[in-house]
Amino acid sequence: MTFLLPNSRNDLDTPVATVGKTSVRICDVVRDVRGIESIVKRAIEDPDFGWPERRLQQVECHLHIFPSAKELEDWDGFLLGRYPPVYSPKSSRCNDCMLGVCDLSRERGACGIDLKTKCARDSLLDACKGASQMISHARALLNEALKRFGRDKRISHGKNVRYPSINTMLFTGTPIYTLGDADDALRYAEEQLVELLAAASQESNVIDLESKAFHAGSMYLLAGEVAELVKEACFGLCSAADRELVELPNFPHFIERGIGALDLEKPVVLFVGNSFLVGIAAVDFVRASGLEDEVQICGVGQMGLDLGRYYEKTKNLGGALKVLRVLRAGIPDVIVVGEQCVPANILEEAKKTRTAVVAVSQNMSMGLKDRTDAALSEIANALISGEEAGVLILNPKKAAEVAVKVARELSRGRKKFELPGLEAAEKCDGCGACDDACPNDLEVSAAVLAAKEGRANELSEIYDDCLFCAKCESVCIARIPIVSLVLKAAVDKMRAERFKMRPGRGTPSHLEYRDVAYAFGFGTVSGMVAIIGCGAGNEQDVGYMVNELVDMNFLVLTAGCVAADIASFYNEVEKKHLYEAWAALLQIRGFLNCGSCSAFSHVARAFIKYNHLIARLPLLGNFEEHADYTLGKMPMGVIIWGPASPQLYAAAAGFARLGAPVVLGPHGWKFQRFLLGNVEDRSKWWAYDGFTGRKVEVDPAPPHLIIPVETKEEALTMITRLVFRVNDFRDGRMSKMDSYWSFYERFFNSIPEDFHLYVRADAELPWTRKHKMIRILGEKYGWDVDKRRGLIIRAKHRDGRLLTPEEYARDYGIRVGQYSTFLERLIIREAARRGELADADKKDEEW
Amino acid sequence: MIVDVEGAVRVLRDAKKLLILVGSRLDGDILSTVVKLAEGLGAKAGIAATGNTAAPLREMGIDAGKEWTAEVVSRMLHSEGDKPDLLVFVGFYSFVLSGVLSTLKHFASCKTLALERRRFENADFSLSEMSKEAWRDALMRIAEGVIR
Repeated sequence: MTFLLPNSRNDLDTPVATVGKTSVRICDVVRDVRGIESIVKRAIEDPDFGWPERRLQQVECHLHIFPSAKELEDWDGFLLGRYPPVYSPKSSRCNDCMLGVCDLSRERGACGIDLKTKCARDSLLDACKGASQMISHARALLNEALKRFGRDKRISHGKNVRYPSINTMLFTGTPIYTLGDADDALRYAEEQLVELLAAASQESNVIDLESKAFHAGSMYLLAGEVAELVKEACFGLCSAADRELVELPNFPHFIERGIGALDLEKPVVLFVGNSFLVGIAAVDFVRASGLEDEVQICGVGQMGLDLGRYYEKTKNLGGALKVLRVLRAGIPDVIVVGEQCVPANILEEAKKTRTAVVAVSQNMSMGLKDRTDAALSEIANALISGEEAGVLILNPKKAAEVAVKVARELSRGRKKFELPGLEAAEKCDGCGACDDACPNDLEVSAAVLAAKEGRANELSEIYDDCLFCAKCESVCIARIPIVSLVLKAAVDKMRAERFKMRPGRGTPSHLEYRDVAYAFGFGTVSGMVAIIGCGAGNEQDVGYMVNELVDMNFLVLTAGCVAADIASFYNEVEKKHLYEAWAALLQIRGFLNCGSCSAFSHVARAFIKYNHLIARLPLLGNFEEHADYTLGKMPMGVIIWGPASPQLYAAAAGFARLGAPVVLGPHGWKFQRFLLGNVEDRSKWWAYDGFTGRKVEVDPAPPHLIIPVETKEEALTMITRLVFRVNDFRDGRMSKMDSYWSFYERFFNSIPEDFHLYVRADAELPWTRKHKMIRILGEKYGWDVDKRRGLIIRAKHRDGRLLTPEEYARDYGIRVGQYSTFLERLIIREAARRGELADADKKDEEW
Repeated sequence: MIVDVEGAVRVLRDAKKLLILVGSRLDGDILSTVVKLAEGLGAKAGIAATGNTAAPLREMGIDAGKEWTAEVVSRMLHSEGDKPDLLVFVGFYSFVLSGVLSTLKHFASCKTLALERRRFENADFSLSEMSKEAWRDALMRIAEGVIR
């Protein structure tokens, strides 16, 4: 028997891809070409997304089409070598197999596993959980779309989107033009997820496990993109893709956010979790029945955003995390419960206020009877009479109609804000169990004791920072309904919550990208920062950060529940709330909300898009080159704020692998795995000169890949530090240095101790701080400087040598404008990749 | 291990080189007490101002360097230089400190002392649960104890 080895050099009948006069055998550019020959050929030859001839000649072309994690290990290995994982294990005990329980704190377990490997396996599992939630979400939407429209349905990306499905293209080598393409892409993500889960209980190497966690993150972003495409193309969510540039500053429409926006006399249907299909069916039903002025369609979390993109009268009631706030106050008459981001005790909580529950996902059925096949009136009657507290309906249209009908009935005479009086606090003996239980470290008992003495102010202050998880109640031996007391004390605040917000608009448009491409590429814009997350205790935090970054001329995007939090922040200078204060643009002095958590994919898309726009990097099956370019050149970063969820874990892994560093807010310490660089270890900070192949010591930029911080001020300062890149242009380095220094001075009343590591030439120092910096370089760091003229005479290398500016430019960092890379195969010219410099290059070296 | 005020004083006195990490939750008078504690310990003690505490410390005339908690932890794991043998934590969110202490317990060689109002199982030495007033008093007694 003869085995055919993939990509055998003797495989002469393999197809050839040709660009201009340059040809490559496709078996040489992928690991295993069998079955994907036509995709590979097109990925190289595609006139829009494929390879420019020059690039094909310059670097070692290698495509990753439908890659496994293992195929991307070059890149993952580089990242994890420079930013090794640091773990904070929940427990040192392992109970994962039948041989345990094993205590791994001192020795290996019965299966041979050690604590780090156990942590890495947990990391992969967390990333898989997050990815599975997004893949499941995308699959539910896609299946419904396939049923309605079929595989051949064309997906319109809009006239302002030149590069559709960028996240997907990097991995599948194929743009998504039809629902069938979307199905193929999602199947790939599903297959990868199964493989990754299989590895999570077997793989024994930390780096391999973390590489797989990265891969789960990439699959998360891919699935998010599929979900967004289907929502926009098949279910009518608004998108900027078809709008003229002049429309965009005010696009999309405003919706209202907050309980104060509701008419409490009218029926309220609240959508919780991912109940998207039911949500739009409910809106359609309300519209068709002429009930728009009567029935109020509301959403928390992703439904507050997605429904807002579909229906202008949607009321957004905040992040998913705080659904209990709304439920306890008895605001909704009916809640429609999907999967993801739903408290496990939501049914019990709904019963307390006699709120009817319509569950619509088989993944979150809560033990309710499946009434999908029952008559609509029968189900409605059972809920209205209270015979059943909740039902499961797996038909979106029927679920929607039931929800609306039941809400109309139940709302009659139903009172809102029926909350216990402060006398409920009288049983408190100040034991402090609630303080210990609070995941946000709030001083709950002091507030309850104050209430006992008749003062409600302290409880009202708790309202501002409370996560509404009710852990305090569950540990209270006196059974005090603490959350209800907090709400009672803050009723006036809740009623006053009424803000305008933009619910999200999908992708930035091609016109916006073009508009700032030059400024972004050459660095007059300090960077692009996305703030995403599940919503914080204090809603003001995220708005504060957005405001500061916009003020600092960063390009700012947001997505996820934090986008709703932002609405409540008041800009004192503009005298407006944030969505009204800034234009909805990916532009200086603007910020845009992309949408719900599936819209994190639009953030990644924006990052990748700039790589393509500025460097013309091929898009199809070319993930590694994009990630290499982002980490080396493009000043992008992500702040994740609020309690950590598996979805955010996966998203963080996806962004980090793409080369966009991630700052985690204080709750991010619960992530239990961080990717921290060691600035002191000079051996870690290198890059290849892209032309000569010489390995050069570089500035530690960015210093970390995933790092937690404690305060919003730290988050802002850290993100300005993480947008430094080894390949910064002069103006870029200057503006980043200015931002970093500015935040550092303002928040910490001191100067950044590490700023000298990022000084490459005096021409790059911010003009307004130049003399101070020069003085400090001389006095504190031993550089030879001319203080009067503000010049660096000799710079001090990290090895202690004093070097002239020319010598320093040669021995430290990448020369401005010079191409650099972290991957050997991306060094230009084969001789340089082999380390054989041509004579001309040697002369260049001597210079 | 749970320690009382005297126990904490002993741990602090026994350390050869220690770093006091000041967390983002510390306010005025307790911050002064921590400064007093550091001064009492003399040259062997350094202060790392994490969170936003560098600014108030500078206003108090203390030139404590701004530090990022994650970077301090990373240094304890990877750096080969002269490292402290004791890290002292005061003024941290419990969900932050739990993670920090877990990393240090499992992967670093230094000892840890949590001078917080809550007990931290992953610390080598920790105060136990107490009210804010009792905590303030305990810190003051510790600061005075190291001088004696």
